[in-house]
Amino acid sequence: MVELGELEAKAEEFSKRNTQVFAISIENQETVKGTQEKFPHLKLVADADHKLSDAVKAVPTDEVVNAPTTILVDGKGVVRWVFRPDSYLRRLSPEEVLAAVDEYAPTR
Amino acid sequence: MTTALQPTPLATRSRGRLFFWLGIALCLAAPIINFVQIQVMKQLFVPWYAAVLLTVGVALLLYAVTRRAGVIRVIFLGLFALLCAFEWLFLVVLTKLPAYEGPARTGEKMPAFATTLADGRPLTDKDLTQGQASVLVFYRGRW
Repeated sequence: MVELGELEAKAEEFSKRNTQVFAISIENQETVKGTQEKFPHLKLVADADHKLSDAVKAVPTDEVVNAPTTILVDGKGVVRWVFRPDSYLRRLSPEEVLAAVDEYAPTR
Repeated sequence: MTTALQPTPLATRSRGRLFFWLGIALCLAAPIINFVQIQVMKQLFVPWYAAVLLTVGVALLLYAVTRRAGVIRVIFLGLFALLCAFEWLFLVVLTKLPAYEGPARTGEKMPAFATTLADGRPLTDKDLTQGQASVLVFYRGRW
């Protein structure tokens, strides 16, 4: 949960950029509800049936859970940036995500 | 007439001792720094330094064993060599992630979807067209 905690800590910065942050989980709804309480500024998505994950193919072949993937969408619903690290251990820092928002989907 | 000094038992025992303890320190430093990286610094990058520290540590242990092959030294060398091999396997092979080949492509509309927020409200691709930018972070659960 380090990744979500770091994003939550930068909620104000995302808000300044008129940007909402969705965290997509394939855990069951009760678990995601509990996670939402810990990170109130993020919008937790309870995607247990993989409707969103399958729509963007976030789960690699031969895997059962999402690969860490970040998709930036502008205010018109157009994808502006997709990031998938080359290691399961790597995550974007919130500063890197904010920099991507500023570069690819500036709203201010 | 002078006679060559023979190594005393104490001197024999201490052969390579500095390298042994330095090797142990480097091998133990790897998991400790990794813990600090994630739990204290909250930095999620690939810990290549851990594999490097273990490799140097094992090399020092190996040198210490060549100086004096005590049972304890050989045991520690074996254990840390195994840990080092696993660390490289883990970083290079087991945690390798395939490149993204999905339908979300830069410059194109977000693929259609209909899912649910944590509080049960629906969320669809139409909700991402209301003027606010959106960051979608797919995460694996507890880590």
